[in-house]
Amino acid sequence: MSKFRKGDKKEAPGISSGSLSDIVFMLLFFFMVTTQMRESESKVSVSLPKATEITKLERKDLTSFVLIGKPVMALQDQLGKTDRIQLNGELVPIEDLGNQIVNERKALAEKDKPQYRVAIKADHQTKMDMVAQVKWQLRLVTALKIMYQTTRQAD
Amino acid sequence: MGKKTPQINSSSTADIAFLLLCYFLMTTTMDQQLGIERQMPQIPTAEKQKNQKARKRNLLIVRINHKDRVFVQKGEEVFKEVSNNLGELRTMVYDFFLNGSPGYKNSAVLPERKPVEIPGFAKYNGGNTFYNVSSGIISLQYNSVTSYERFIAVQNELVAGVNDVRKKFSEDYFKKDYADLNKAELDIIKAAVPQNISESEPFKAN
Repeated sequence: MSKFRKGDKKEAPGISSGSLSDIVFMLLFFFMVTTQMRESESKVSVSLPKATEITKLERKDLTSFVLIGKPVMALQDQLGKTDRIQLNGELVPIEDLGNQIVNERKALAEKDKPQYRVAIKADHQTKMDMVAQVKWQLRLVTALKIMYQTTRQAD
Repeated sequence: MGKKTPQINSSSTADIAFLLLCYFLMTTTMDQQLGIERQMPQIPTAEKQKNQKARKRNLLIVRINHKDRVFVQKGEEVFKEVSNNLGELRTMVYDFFLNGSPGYKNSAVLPERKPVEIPGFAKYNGGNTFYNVSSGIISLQYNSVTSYERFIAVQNELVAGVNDVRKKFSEDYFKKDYADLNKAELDIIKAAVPQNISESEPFKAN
């Protein structure tokens, strides 16, 4: 009877895997709750410019996203390479943008209307002419709260 | 005696959950929507436009030309190029908006200050609800072929300059960090240090 038994073949106790499914389920719920499906497919390719002095966009549900950029590769045969504007999954001609924004705003509850905002997601290579035209259309329909969307620049 | 219902083998639920988990892991996008916020002015009426003349000393003109070069004009001075050092804009904006504030130099070529009543400010300012707010306006001008990237880079420096002024204000009056302010204090700071950045319509490219 020695304290140190060598050569004694003892089996390592098996790890109980009964709670494995519980852990996986918890992870699953976390990702199910936090996940946000992309609502619309982009038809224009946008790579955002970088900035440091940025704020977080609040109330995403009260925001319309206006994308400005060149059509994606697959659509360049049909649409060419000039900058296009996209609102909610559809390409919109610049003259129609105002009307569409008005419709978007109409759909909101009355108390939310003052918080309505338009986020401009323009590609960093876009010329300011296009951005200025979009801004002008927004001012015409008094959608005055805007956000230039950017990504965070590492310091 | 009824028949015994056969038990369902539950050992594969973990596998099923794993598959679902993988699916959500792949599709999830955790990106935050970030950016520079801006309130655009209403389209002025013709009559209003006539009266809209800012004094020269209250104006800081930042101009980005068709080749993305950046120039600044302060008051009566001539345009100065800052293309290679945009950080200079930040300090210029800082000096511009701080001019004439308590404990800071008061230059005659930089913006004047006018007392404005700010609700809720009295308790931080020894019972005085008025604060001398800078009349300065930054006018950002650009060309129609200016790139958006450059535009945002310049905007970023301008906002950074204003934020530096706000940080100082926050430390002077609230004795805390700008990032830690609550809603009421933020409203005060927005009134006391307004972000007066005006974006004009672009110049047409020749």
